[in-house]
Amino acid sequence: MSPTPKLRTSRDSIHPLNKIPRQVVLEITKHLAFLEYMGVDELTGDEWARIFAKAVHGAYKKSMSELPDVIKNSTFWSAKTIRPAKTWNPSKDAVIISGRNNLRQSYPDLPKKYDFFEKPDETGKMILEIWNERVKLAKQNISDGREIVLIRNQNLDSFILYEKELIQYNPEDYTWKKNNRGNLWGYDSEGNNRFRWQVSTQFTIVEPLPSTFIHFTFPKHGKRILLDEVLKVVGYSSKSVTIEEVNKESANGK
Amino acid sequence: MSDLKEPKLRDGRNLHKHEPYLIGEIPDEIIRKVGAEIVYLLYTGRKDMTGNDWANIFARSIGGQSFDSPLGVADICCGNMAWSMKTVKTNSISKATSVRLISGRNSPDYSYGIENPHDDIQKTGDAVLAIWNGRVQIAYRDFSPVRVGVLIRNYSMTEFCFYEETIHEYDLKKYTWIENKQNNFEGHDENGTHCFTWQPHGSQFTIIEQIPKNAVYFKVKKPPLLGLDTALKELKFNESWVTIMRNKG
Repeated sequence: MSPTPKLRTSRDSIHPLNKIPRQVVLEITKHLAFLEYMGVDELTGDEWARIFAKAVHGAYKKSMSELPDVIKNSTFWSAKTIRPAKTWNPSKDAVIISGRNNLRQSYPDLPKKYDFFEKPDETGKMILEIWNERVKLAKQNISDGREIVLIRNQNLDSFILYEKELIQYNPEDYTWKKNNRGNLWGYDSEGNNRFRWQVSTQFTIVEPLPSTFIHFTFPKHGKRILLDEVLKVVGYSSKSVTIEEVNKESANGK
Repeated sequence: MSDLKEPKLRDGRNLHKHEPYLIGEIPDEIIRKVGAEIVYLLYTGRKDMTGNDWANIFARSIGGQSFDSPLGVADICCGNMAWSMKTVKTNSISKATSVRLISGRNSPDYSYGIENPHDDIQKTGDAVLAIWNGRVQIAYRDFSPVRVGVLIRNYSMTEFCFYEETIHEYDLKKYTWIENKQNNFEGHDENGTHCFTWQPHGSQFTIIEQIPKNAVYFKVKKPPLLGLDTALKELKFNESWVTIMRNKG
């Protein structure tokens, strides 16, 4: 008898770009409800990437410098979450911190006293090339690269979710200017601000939302697992904590 | 005159110091409370601890309160005392002899109008320390003493070292500043010991401290994990909680 063939199930398939299935959204909300139950009242980028990985049955990949956060089959996602001001609405752009573009590290031949603001377009070109290189490296082995963005409100009960293709940018399409806070802003041909760069190396992409996106809400449940309950469940006793008096000079062999 | 008690003054806060315990003598009971809070984090699936977590854990363990936003250098208070809370990660707790504490963003440009920090390294370094001192003064306006509470943790959050030091202003005259090979600024004391680092790109200010001999070392036993399904069952989570709308622009 031939062995039972392994078949792809719906868990293995990847949805078309920005057509996020209802089940994925529901899985995300389960994890958000879980976070609240654990007493976590803010959502970090790392936690969002982990939640999304579980929701799509993918693998979470932590890296400080590489774009892919979640990988599944032949698709990867850079997972971003932002909490804009209360006045934000979907007609406005999403301002997304997109990495550290350190010009001195990436261009080690730059003179020591190179003035980043003297030729803003030149500096802007270098900034975008760092981003482009990162995208190129990420797509070397997996060509379907996406950005998954979760926009959350202050109360963590209303969310916008969308996907976009992760793309490179043509530096010739943008002009750069120094703003009054000493940062460099990049503008497209229509004068819209599309990029921001701080001398501290933080690089931000300013993007409009796609024409379709998901808006989902679910109420806070208000329950929280209490410290005492946890300690009872795990059988905690003061013996779980070992306190040592260490003589550092002996420990270090001095 | 020496037999007289301390006079009661109207502005008695700074005169009558309130210290629940002396530095280096933190009671085991508080360490066990900190340990219990860490076990709680581990049980609920947390893989790491943030600075905010640490501040809240310590505040709860000593019966204090966390500030919504820092007061100068202070993150928490208990009675008339305040603490700046710092936590750092290391591979080996037992081998660590010093720590680098990120201590804020000090911008000489914003605070003193020094546009090019490289023009005068010493002047920039003095400005960086003066900004720190300003923050310390803010904390001391309302609390005294003010300490830093440092928790060094290993990567699996099972081994820890805790110590405290009194926070104070630095005497600018005692530090010499130089630019290093990475184009960052280093402050050295009169013995040539590297005490501070400041990064011109980003304005990050770091204080390098030696771990004192009175540091407390402790370990916690890793608990099993709380499962998602168990939690959802407890919450009676239902898909009808979720409203999904697909917006078409």
